[in-house]
Amino acid sequence: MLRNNLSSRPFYNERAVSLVLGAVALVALALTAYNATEIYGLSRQRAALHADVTRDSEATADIRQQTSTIRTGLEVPVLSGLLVSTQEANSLIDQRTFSWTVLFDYVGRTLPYDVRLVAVAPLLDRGRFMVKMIVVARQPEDLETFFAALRETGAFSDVTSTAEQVQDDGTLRADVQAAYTPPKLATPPGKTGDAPAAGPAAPAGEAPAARTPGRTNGTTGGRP
Amino acid sequence: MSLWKRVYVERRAVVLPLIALLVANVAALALGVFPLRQSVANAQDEAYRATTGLEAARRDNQSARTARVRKDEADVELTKFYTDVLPKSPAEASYLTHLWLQLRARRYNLDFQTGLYKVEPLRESRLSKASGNVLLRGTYADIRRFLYDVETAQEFIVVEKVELGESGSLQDSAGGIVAVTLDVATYFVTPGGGGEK
Repeated sequence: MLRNNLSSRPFYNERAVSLVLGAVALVALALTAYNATEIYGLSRQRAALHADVTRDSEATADIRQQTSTIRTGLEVPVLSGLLVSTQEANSLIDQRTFSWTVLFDYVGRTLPYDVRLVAVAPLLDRGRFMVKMIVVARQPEDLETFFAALRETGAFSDVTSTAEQVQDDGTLRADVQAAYTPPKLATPPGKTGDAPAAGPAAPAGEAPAARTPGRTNGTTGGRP
Repeated sequence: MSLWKRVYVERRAVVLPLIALLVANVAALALGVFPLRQSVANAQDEAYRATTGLEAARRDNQSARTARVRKDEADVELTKFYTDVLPKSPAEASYLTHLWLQLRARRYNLDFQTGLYKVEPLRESRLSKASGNVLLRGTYADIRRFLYDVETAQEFIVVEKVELGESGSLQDSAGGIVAVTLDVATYFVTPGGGGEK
């Protein structure tokens, strides 16, 4: 059987070629649409982002300018000076609001009969009161009794004798030191947090009124 | 002529534009879409940095405002303390530690004697300290009342130390006479701002 094609224009499947070309055309058109959409969308997005950046940068510069103006007068040396003054004022107010009445109530309640108080002074150390006392006792045991009684009040801690000396009459003179936490009766107005505390309320406010001896001491009676 | 060449020759009018379109699209992808994507990603980073920078600036601003408010409040409170609470002058401080205390002592039938008195500026402070000691003699109960009166008064006077005389005793509340020495102090703004920070 003869298989050669002797025609001058051999037959091929034109429909298939048309289909392929049509498919390629469709892909090309889809790609074109995709590219156009992407370019348009991305361009808009980029423009919007640049606008955001510009707006935020301008706002940042504006706010920084305001901040700089606000910070005028808030330089470190100024604030440090203010802090020192505030701490000093707070310390003075703490000393002023120290209640001798309450302290004497405690000491009067706890002092054994054979121990005599000679001197007492509170010292403010880093916001904490240390009470220094000089006492004279007949026997060392009396001192121990006194220390234990002070601790039992809950207002005194770290009660120690820093120096002891036997006197000519045989009595024992001791320097006593104790951390003292006065009962919280009222917060002096104007003395909160690390804000500078001041104001007449501190020495003259409600705290002393609440600090009547009767409030903290059931034994020595009420207000003198 | 091969079959493909023949197809190309016969359909050149369609094939060529198609090829051109495909090449153009590839070029658009390579030169337009991909760089634009990168550019948008960069812009997003930049926008993020700008936003976080703005937030940081706002926080900083808020912090500065808070500091300013607190500083102003502190200034006001300190001024109030210096002018309304503390004695206004050395003379007033001297009055407080002497005559005022004496008048209070008299209320409670206490003998009153003043001792040393000194005024010294505090180091690195606007304040000066006026301090002295006073000797009180009276019953223990009266001395307690006097101390209570002093500590609840409006005046800014600090009792720094209490010394009981040899005969004094806290247990002695039966009316015996007790001698007590008080170290007292008050503070005032140093005139002329000496030692001011």
